[in-house]
Amino acid sequence: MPEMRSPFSLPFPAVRMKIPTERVRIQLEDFSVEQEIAEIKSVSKRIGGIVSFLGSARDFSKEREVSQIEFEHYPIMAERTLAKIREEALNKFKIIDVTLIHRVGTICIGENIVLIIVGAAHRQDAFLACAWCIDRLKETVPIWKKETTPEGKIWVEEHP
Amino acid sequence: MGTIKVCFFAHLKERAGQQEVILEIGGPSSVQQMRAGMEEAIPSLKGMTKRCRIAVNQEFVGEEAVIHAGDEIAFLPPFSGG
Repeated sequence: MPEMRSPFSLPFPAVRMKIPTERVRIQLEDFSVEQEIAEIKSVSKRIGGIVSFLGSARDFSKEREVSQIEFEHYPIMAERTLAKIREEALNKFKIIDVTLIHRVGTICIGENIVLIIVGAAHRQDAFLACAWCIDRLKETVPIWKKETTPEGKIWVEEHP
Repeated sequence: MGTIKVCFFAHLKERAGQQEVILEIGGPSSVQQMRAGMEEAIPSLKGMTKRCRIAVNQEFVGEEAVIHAGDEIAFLPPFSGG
């Protein structure tokens, strides 16, 4: 039997074809790890090692259940600081490119929050740069997290 | 005479009940003067910004920074992204 499809719905591949071009982004919507890795790979055939860090929303923090997280950022400054981390990483490590994405808005447990992908010729530099990038992000990018807990909504101040 | 915009985030924004405030500035001012002016305009934030970093026009600055008319100031509580 032929598949029934509404003539008004967008074909699935067209939606998937939306290729992000910015290496540094703060966004409400989710990201595709696979797509971002493909983007980094497409930068250079010299890439031989890719290291990624994916931060996701967990349901427990400081001895409390967490049911939802909200992220707020300082627009322009947050993007600018992310871009600075990318530039510094490119200068500091022997890597070829790096993507940094952080989501804002309301995020449910299990959903993606932050993604760092580093492409390098060799794994050692990629591992070092990736760890450095997420540490710098936590220290310097103006983003704040509010957790929904049984005791109410609480702004979190530290970055473990 | 001119004005500056002072922005608040996270718990400061909720406590202030507003995201930003426009303050008059007589001339180049210190961070201390700006903070005093802000606390006068929004008493609920008195003493609340000690742990904040300060940004002027989206760049981190120290307590010694000089603030001019037209600047955008932000009080940034400790970050918790990532």
